[in-house]
Amino acid sequence: MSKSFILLIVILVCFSCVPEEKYKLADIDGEFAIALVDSDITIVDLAEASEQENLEIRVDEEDRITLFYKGDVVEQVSTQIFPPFPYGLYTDITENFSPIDFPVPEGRTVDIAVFDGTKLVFEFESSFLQDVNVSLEFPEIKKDGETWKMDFFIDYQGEPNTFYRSDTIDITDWAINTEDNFLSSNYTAILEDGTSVTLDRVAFWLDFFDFDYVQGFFGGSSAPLVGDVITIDVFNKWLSGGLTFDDPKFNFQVENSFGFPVRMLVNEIVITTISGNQFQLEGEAVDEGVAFNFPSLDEVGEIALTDFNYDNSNTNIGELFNEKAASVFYDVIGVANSESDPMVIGFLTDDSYYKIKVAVELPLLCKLNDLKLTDTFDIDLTEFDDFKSAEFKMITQNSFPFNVELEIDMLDDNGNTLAKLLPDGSVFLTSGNLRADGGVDPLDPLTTLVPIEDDLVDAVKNTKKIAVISTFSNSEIAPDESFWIRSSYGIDFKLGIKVNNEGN
Amino acid sequence: MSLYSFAQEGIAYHFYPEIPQQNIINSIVDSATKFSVSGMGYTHLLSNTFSLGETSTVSGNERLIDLDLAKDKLKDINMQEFSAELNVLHLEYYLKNLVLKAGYNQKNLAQVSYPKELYQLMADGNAQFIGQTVSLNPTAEISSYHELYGGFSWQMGKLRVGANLKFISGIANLHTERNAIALTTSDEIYQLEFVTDYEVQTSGILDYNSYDDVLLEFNRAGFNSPFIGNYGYGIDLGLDYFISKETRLFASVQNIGSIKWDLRGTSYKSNGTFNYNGIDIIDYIGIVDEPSFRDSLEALLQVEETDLDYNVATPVSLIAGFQHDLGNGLDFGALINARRISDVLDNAVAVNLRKEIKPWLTLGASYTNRFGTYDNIGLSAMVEYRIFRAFISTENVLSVYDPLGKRNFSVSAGGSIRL
Repeated sequence: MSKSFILLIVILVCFSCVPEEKYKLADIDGEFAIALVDSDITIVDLAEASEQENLEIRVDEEDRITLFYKGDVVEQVSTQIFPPFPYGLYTDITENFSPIDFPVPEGRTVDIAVFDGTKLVFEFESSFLQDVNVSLEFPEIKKDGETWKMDFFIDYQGEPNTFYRSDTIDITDWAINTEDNFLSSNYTAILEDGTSVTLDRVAFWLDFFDFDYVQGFFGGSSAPLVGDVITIDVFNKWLSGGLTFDDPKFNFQVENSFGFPVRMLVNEIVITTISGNQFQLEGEAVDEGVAFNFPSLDEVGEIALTDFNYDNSNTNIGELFNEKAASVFYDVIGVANSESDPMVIGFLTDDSYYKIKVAVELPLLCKLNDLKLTDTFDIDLTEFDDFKSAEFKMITQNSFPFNVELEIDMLDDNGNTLAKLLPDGSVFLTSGNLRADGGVDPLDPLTTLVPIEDDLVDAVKNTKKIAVISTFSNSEIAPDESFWIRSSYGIDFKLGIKVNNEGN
Repeated sequence: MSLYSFAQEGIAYHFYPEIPQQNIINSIVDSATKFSVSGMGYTHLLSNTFSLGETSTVSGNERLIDLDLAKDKLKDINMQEFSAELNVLHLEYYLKNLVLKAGYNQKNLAQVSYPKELYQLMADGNAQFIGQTVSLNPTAEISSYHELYGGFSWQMGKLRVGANLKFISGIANLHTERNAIALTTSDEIYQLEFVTDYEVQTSGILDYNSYDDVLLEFNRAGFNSPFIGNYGYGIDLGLDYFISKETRLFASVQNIGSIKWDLRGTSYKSNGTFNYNGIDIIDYIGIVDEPSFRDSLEALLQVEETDLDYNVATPVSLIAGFQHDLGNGLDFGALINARRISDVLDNAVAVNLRKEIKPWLTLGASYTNRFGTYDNIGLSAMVEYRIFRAFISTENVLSVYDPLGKRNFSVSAGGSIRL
C-alpha cells in the first residue's frame, strides 16, 4: 500500500473524529434598564381606585371635588300609607234609604275618593208574584256630576220567591264625594202594576275599596325608615397628623308626591371613628327633624323636592367628623301630619311616593397639618432576583398646592420593615404655585437616583410588600389656610430601574 | 422574494473538471467514457466574525457559550452560515459533442445575520443604549429541499455551453421577509419603544405562540416527505471556453429559481410602534393582584400569525475563473465567486495549484479569501483507480482538526464511476 494512500486514509479518519458535545449558554452579564411605573396620581384616581361602592365623586364647574358617601335609598309608596282595604261582604240595604258603613280608619276623613278597580254585585229577593223594576243609587258616588244609579229587573218566574243576582259591575273612575265619611244608598222597587214596594232583601257585595285618588285628612301616622350605616373611607389610610374638613354635611334629598305634610324625625345619628369611638349628632335641627315639601291640591301628580343638610350651622357634625369618622349610622322615622291638624286636607294617588336619599357630603375643602397617609402594595420582585446591584431613577412632580413628603418602606411577608428605599429616608416635593383660578403650576420635576447596593440588595430581593407613606402639609405661604382639592391636583410619579447582573 | 447565496460544493471542485458533478456545468472526461455515475457530499460552517470556538469554552463534553468572549470581534454586520448538501446521484451520458445529465440532490442551508448592536444587547443589556435608538434587524434564512434535475452540455468548437433544469420540492423553510426592528431606551426612566416592520415566513420550522413559547423544528431537514408539495423550479447555466489547449475560461450562474412554500406556510408579522412605559400604579390600588412587569412586557410586542403561501428564491451563485495547464502535470487556476448574504455582498477569490503526483493521484493546494477570513489554506486530492475516481477537499485544512474553532470550515468529498 503506497504512502500516499495511507496518508489519505489517515486524513479521512481524523476528519471523522468529531466528538459529540452538549451546549449550554452562560449566564448573561449585563446591565438592563427598564421603566417600572408611570403614573399621574390624582385624588379622583385614588378615590375611584378604592372601589367603594357607595362613593360618588362630583367635580363642579370650578374643578372642585366633593365626595358623596351614599346610604340606602328609603322609599314608601301610597299603598304603604293608605292601603286598599278589603271588603268582600254582602251588605244588606235594609231600607229604601240606608247608610253604608264606609270603613275609613278612625281619625281620618275622606272627602273625595276615586275608585280604581272596585267591583260590585247586587242581590235581590222578591216574594211578589210579579215582575219588579228596581232602581238603586249611591247618592255620594258621582262621576262628571252624575250620581251613580242602576236599574235592575226581577223577572217573576211563577215561584213564590224570586232571587236575582246582578252581573259584576266595575265602578272604576266613579268617585265618592262625602262629608264625615258618610256613604248611603237608596232604591225604589215598582211592581208591574205600578205599586211601589219594599223587597224582601236587597244587598250588595264589594270586593275592596281601592282608590287611585284620595283627598281628605289622613291623620297622624309614623313609619320607621330603615336605619343604615354609611361607610366612609377617607380616613382609611390615615396614619397621623391633621386633616380638617371645613364643611362636612349629612344630606337629605327627598322626592315627595304625597299631598300632605311629612316630617322626618331623628331617633339618632351616630358617628363612629376609625378608633371605634362613637358620638351622637346633636343640634336643634336634629331635634326638629326635617319637614318634606309636598305638592298642593293644585299640584296633583307633581313631585316636590326637598334638599336639606345637617352641617356646621345646625349641628355638631364638623367637630365629630374631624375625629376621623369611619361610618355614620342613622335611625329615623317618617311622620305624616305630625301636627295632626284635621284642617290640613291632603291627597294621595296610587302613584304617590316619597323617596329619601341620604348621603354624607364631604366637600374637599380642607386643611392639612402634617397629614400622614399610608398604603401598602403586594409586590413580586423574584424576576429580578439575579441582580448584583441596581439603581432606581425616580422623577416626581407635585401638582398639589401643598408640600408632599414621600417615604417608601420595603416590608417582608409579615409587614416588618426591611429597609427604607429612599436615600435619607424620604423625598420632599415642594408644593406647586397656586394660581388665582385655583390651578397649580408645578415646579420642575425632581429627579432622585436611588442606588441599590450591598445590604439594600438583600432587602429588595426579600421584599414582599411596599408601603408608601405620604405626608401632606400646607405650604409655608399659607400655613393655616384651607384649600379646595381640585381634580387636576396630583403627583406625577415615574420610576425606572437599571439592574446590573455583572459578576454573577 | 429575497436573494441570498452561498457557494455549494466548495471552490476546489471547479478546478477538477474530471469529476462529473451536477454543479460543474461542463465536466471533461476522456472520449472512451460513455456513462458515469457519481455522488458528492459537502458541508461548510462560515462566520465573518468569530467561530463557535472563539465564543465558548469546553469542559468535558459540555461547551459553554459565553457571549462576552466574542464582543471584540464583532463587525457592523455579523453573519454565520451553515450548509450541508448531498448530491446523492449524478448520471452523465456522453455522446460526441453532447452530454446528457440527470440527478438528485438534497440540500440544507442556514444563514443568520445581525448587526453588532443586537449581539451587544444580548451580551451586555440595553443600559449601554440609554438615550439611543438601535437597529436590531436580525435575519435568518433556513431551507431544506430536494432537487431532481436534468441537463446537458454541448461542445461547439472551443466553446462548451451547458444548462440544468431542476424540479424542486421543499422540505422546510424559514425566511425573513422584512427585518426592521428598532429599539429605543429612553433616558427619562428607561421606557422602551420598539418600532417594527418584521415578517418571518415559515413552512414546517417555526411555531411561535409568545416570546417564551417558541418551537423550532430542525428535525425536518433531511430526506423527509419528498415531493409532496412546496414545489419549485430552477436553472443552472454555464460555459467553458478554451482559449487554447492549455487554458480554459469558465463561468456559471447556478440556482436561478424559486420555491413556493404552500404546505403549512405561516407568516409571523410585527408591524408598528410598541411602547412600554411602566405600569400605572392606579390600576393596582385596592386590588389583590401584584404588579407584573413581565406580563406587561410580554404583551408589548404583538405578533400577527396568518396562513400564507410564499415564494423564496433559491440561492444563486456566480462563478467565473480560469485554469491553465503549466505542463508536467501542473496546472494553475483562479476564480471569483460572487455571493450575497442578506444585505451583505461577499466575494470569494481563490487560487489553486494542482499537481499530478502519480497517474492515480492528483493533489491540489488553494488559497481562498472568503467571508472576511484570510487564513484559508486548502488542500484537495483526487484518486483514480480504473473506473473509480474519488475526490476530497477542504478550503481550510486547519479547520478539519478544529471545525468549531475556525471561521471557515468546509469539506467536500465525492466519487464517480466511469463506464
